[in-house]
Amino acid sequence: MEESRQQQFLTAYEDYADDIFRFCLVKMRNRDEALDVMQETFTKTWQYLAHGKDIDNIRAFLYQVARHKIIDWSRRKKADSLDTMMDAGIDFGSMQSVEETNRRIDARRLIDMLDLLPEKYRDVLQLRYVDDLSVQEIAEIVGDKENTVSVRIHRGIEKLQALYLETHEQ
Amino acid sequence: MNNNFFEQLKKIRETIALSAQEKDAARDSIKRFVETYVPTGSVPSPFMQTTRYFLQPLQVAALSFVILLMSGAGLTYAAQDALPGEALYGIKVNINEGVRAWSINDPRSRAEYEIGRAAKRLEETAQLALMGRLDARAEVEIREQLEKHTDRAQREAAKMTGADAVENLEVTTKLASELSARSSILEDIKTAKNTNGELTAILAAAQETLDELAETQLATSTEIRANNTEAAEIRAHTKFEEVTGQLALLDEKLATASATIANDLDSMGQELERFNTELETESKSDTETSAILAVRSAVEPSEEEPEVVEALSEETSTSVVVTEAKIDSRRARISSTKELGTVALVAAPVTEPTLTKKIIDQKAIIENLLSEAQKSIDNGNFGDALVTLQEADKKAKEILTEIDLQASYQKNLDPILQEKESEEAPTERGTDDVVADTNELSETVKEILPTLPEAAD
Repeated sequence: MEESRQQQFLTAYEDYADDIFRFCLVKMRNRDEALDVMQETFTKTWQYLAHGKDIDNIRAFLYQVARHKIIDWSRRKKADSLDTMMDAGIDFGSMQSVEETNRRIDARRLIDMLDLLPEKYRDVLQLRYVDDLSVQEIAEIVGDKENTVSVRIHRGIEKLQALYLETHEQ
Repeated sequence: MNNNFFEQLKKIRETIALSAQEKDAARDSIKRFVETYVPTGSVPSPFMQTTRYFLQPLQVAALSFVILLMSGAGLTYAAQDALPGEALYGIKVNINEGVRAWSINDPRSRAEYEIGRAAKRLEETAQLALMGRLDARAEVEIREQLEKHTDRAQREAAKMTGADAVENLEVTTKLASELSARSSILEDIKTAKNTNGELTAILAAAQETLDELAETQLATSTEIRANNTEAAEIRAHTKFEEVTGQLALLDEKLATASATIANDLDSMGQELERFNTELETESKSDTETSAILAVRSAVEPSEEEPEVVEALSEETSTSVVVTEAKIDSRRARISSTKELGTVALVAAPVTEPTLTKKIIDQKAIIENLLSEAQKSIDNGNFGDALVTLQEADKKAKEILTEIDLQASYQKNLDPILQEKESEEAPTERGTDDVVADTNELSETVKEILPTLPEAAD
């Protein structure tokens, strides 16, 4: 029983480590710190499971834990300058080809655009379109009603599209 | 565009991933943790902070309970007037207010209490901004609290459905009118104090909520319209009385202000005088426009160097358009201010002329809505009437709140505004701009003309 629980959890790591890491990196920008938070997300989740607790949707749960960790992190960061860090841009890692570099430039631009939105829109848009989670899962992660989440996604898209058009029509 | 846009968003997904080494290293350490972790004691919450830099509300509660025991009730009393960024603020927001919030039971009162708290946060914003103490920390603190209050108020309001939908609309209307009235005051402060981004951020947060409210209210209104019962009829009549009362109150406000009319007439006269001088300068710049037009027509007949001529005439016409636009906008400004001056003179102004104009405008809107509601009532559409009345109620509340706030901030704002006006006076002179534009234009014309020797003949 315990064996299979461990096995299940480690499979979840294989499946979702990249997702959680991406979620952290887009919000945190610093690769090392994003790695730390990703790792901590998994260990905290295991602690919870090890106490015999059940989790319905492990993916949503992981996002939920990661989100809390990032909130803590940004509170701690407030003392240092969060803005300086954000300006530094995202650390995509070292592997590179020309094609890859071009894709990164596009991604960077969109992430910068996401940054211009108020946080409540940024979060739901990232979860919905970058991480491809369902509205129901997002509602669980951010602790709001599905209806509210839908409205936020809708408004967020409008805002983001306006920004996108602004930058692409020039 | 749409598809491209969503594809772009998905691309973020493809570009960010763990490297194989990173994934392996993290797997190893997680695996080790999973194999060695022995659960003991209570379940650790995965959401708990590992390092605490801020006290959580419950900790603040526990801590201040201890302090309270030691120091008596004085502390929470002292905290009453604490502002964001001050030591006692946490106690004020979490204890003084929080304790009261816990003791309220029904959704409507709870929502209203939260609306009151939201209003208080915006009040604090105004105070801090006027004192020049609205820094990034206070801003974040206020915005977080504001969002909490408005979210809670909205959540409580959402509980009132069906027959209670009217109450839902009433509550959200109250929230909306508080937010927009206070935002409008904050906008004034922002202009007067020329503050940095903090105020803008708070205003943006308020606007977000207003947008959200507008959307949910639309749904609630539909629900109310459908509910055309006897209860709705009674409610519509009560509401009608209420709004009529508010309308009377608005008249009273206008009348009270007439006590200071002599003073205001004086300043209004000065204003009008200024408009007259502006009108004079305007006709002067009209002459300048004709000068520009003359230059333009002088250039136009030449046809032998079409490209150069076209370029030149395009440039000239752009300048003409710019100048004309400037004149138009000033003319519009003058006429609207002039109109305002006249209206204000006739209708006994309160201290702030723009506010007087607003009161008169809003009064007209409210009166219209009331007669519309009367029609709905006469036709037996009580649901419709209720929605219309709610709108009227919102307008009335908004303007009444704004009048009260304006009065209380006026003495703070007046000196700042006056200082500001004297600073800005030179830049407001539009004529100088026009002259400069014309000079620049003729310079350009002089430069280009020699390049078309034959054309000029």
